[in-house]
Amino acid sequence: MTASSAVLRVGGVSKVFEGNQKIRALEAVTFDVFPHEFLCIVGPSGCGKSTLLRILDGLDLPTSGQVLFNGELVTAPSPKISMIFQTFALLPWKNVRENVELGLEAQGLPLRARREKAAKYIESVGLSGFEEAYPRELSGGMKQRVGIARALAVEPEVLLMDEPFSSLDELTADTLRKEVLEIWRDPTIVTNTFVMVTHNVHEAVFMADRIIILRARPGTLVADITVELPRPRVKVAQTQEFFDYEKKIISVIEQYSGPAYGTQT
Amino acid sequence: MGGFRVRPDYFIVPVIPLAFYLLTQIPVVGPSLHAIYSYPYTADLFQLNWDNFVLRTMIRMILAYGLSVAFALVYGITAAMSKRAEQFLIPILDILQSIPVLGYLPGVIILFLSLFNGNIIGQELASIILIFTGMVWAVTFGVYGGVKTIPRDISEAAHSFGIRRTKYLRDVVLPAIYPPFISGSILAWGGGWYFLIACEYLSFANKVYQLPGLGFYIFKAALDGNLTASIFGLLILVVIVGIINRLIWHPLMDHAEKFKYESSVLPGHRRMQSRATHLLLKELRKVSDDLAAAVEPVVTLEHRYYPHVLRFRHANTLTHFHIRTAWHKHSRLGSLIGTVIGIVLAIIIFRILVPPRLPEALREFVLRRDLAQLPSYAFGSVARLLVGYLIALSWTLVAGIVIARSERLFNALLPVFDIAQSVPALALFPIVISVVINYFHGSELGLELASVVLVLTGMQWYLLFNIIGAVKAIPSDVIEASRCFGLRGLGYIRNVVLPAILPAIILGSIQAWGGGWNATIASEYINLGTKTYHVAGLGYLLDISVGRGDTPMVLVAIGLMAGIVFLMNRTIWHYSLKQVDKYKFEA
Repeated sequence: MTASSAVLRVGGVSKVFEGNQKIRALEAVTFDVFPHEFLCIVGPSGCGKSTLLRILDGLDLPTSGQVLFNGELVTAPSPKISMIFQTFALLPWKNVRENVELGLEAQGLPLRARREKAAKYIESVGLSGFEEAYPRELSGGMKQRVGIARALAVEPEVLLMDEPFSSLDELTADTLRKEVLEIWRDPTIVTNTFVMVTHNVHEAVFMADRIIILRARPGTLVADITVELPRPRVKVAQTQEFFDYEKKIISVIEQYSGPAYGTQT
Repeated sequence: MGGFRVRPDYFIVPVIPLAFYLLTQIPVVGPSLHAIYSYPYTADLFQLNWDNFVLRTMIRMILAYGLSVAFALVYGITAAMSKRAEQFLIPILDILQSIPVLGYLPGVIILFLSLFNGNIIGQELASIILIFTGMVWAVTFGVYGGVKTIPRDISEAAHSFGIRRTKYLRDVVLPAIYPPFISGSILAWGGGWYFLIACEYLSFANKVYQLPGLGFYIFKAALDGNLTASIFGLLILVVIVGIINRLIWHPLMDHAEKFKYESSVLPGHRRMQSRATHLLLKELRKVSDDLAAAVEPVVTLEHRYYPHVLRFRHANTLTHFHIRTAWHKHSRLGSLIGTVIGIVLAIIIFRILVPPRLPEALREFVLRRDLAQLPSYAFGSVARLLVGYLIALSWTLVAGIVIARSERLFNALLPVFDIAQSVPALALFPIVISVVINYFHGSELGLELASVVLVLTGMQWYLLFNIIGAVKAIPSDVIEASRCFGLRGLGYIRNVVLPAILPAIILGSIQAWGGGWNATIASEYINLGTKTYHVAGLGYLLDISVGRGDTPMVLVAIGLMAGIVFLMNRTIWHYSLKQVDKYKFEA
């Protein structure tokens, strides 16, 4: 793969928060994201990985450096890049269908086209029959399904995920991970480049093609590891090779932030 | 969780000299004090006597606040910790707080004047109790809400570690109460100032009891047509409110933040210092790190205070939300018991106030002609409140959303609003009236206008603060999601902001109508000595009935007001709250 084919090019991105003290959240972070890739960003809390994701989406601007999406500078959120939130970020006063239609409505799509697309993506996350339900009536796993459908409905090229499974119980998270991977590989769904932020090393090795590791204070990129494990990885997850990847990543993180990290996963 | 410690240095500063002063006054309670009170005051700009006006007002406020705190702690903690007590204590509290300050006046005056045989002490105590009735509810709800927000795992952990009774009270309950107690106290002081005049210029049964104080000074000066002196008095009041906020509530609020259970990171408040303070600190750090460290809390407090105030207000509002929805939902029996106890209390008070031959008095009363005017009075007040409410809602909605979304406006305007809301409504009446007389030549329309303007002052702040607080409380992930999916401008306001603040608008409306009813007393009738002005309404009826000592009519007017408030709560607001229940963000 050549560098020119990259979907996202992150070049020397730094972010400084001015406050009581200057916080250097990110410093000179550079990497590329390629089409059809599942990329995970891993690191200890406070390493700026969520800030990085927000800069990729255009929600936040870097203090210096730049993000290019298909060669164009990212300065504001665009429908071509969509996002899934850790705490779901659903609007409590809108039902499932209305929440999924949020981005479509903002694009000014006519009602009928909106309904059709919403129905398609509600079905793809297995929520058919729940269109009229309100978020408060749904379980955590179902809420995140709504979040996924909402992000997919605008048919973006890149899907960003900010710790999408960390507010779910492990069983639900496990199911949802597999479903997200299925969506990623589904040829009928146009979105095929996924970038996920996580602090769960097992999750990263299970899902990613490539893992980049950030260290904290300042947030800098310390490793870029390609995961060469066959898919699907349900059974692979029990093999020595899989454990080796986990160990390797944890040792890189611990090298920069002390041994306490290993207990977090 | 550590013990409960308040930094003593801050609030003892103003309290000690005042307490000292109070002590020195005790020996002269007698003839000399009497001489002061019988002195015919002509409030003149140059006669503002600090000893007699400002200090006396402060002492009254502090004593009333002290009483409120004692009451709030006992009542609030009992209501929150005992399920059985809660069932009737909370409904009673809800009813008592909806009675306007003036509604307590006849009972309080009769009681204290008879207890002290018409002595000055009786008048003073009556005034303090009246201020107390304007302060106590906010503190009590704060305390109650504080105990209610103790997370279950905390209380369970405390119990499993054997922390019980006084230790539980000291280590768990008091720290949990602390933040809402402070916010309740700030509201209470605002309420106290707002009704200060009514509490220092007591007019009952054709007699006026004047208590030398700042409120009296402001009002008397206005009555005498000395607007300059009146405005001067108001300015002094504003300065005092500002000083108290800065010296007492700012640091306490900041300190209380550490006792909150929720995470204290407000979205959009990562940068709490303005550019100027940031540069200042940078320069100072060059000189000396210690110096910068010492200066920093002083200059940053200003910026943290108002977000804190708003957040606490918001929490307070949510407590009310909880109380109202929970009360109606779960405990019909409890609210029934509460209502019955309330009625029994009312009857007992009634029996004390009304002449002993009740049946004859009742028969006489029913035959009175002026009863026929009640519906038109009620209609007049409701119409005025409605107009005031609509004006208040439209301007606060626009202003609230704009202010909450702009950090610069927020930092610039909140301090102004915070003080403006404490300005006593009665103080404004003479000023507004003089404008009306000049421009409308005292016409009916002009008076109606003046009345609506004054009602507005009693309503708008509740709406404004609730709206700003709610806009600020929209979770950051929801804001980001809306931006991510391209919601902008009006689409964002319509799809996100308006639904998000709807519960706060409704709760603000309930409070605004409560405040509005209170303000009708100050806005429908004024006696300028030579001439009286009035518009037909229940506030006017209450004013003249109190002035004449017409107790049965006072009770009827209060009953009618309370009835309308109750009816509106039970129908419009209860229904709306139920509708917006799903609008709440989940924790």
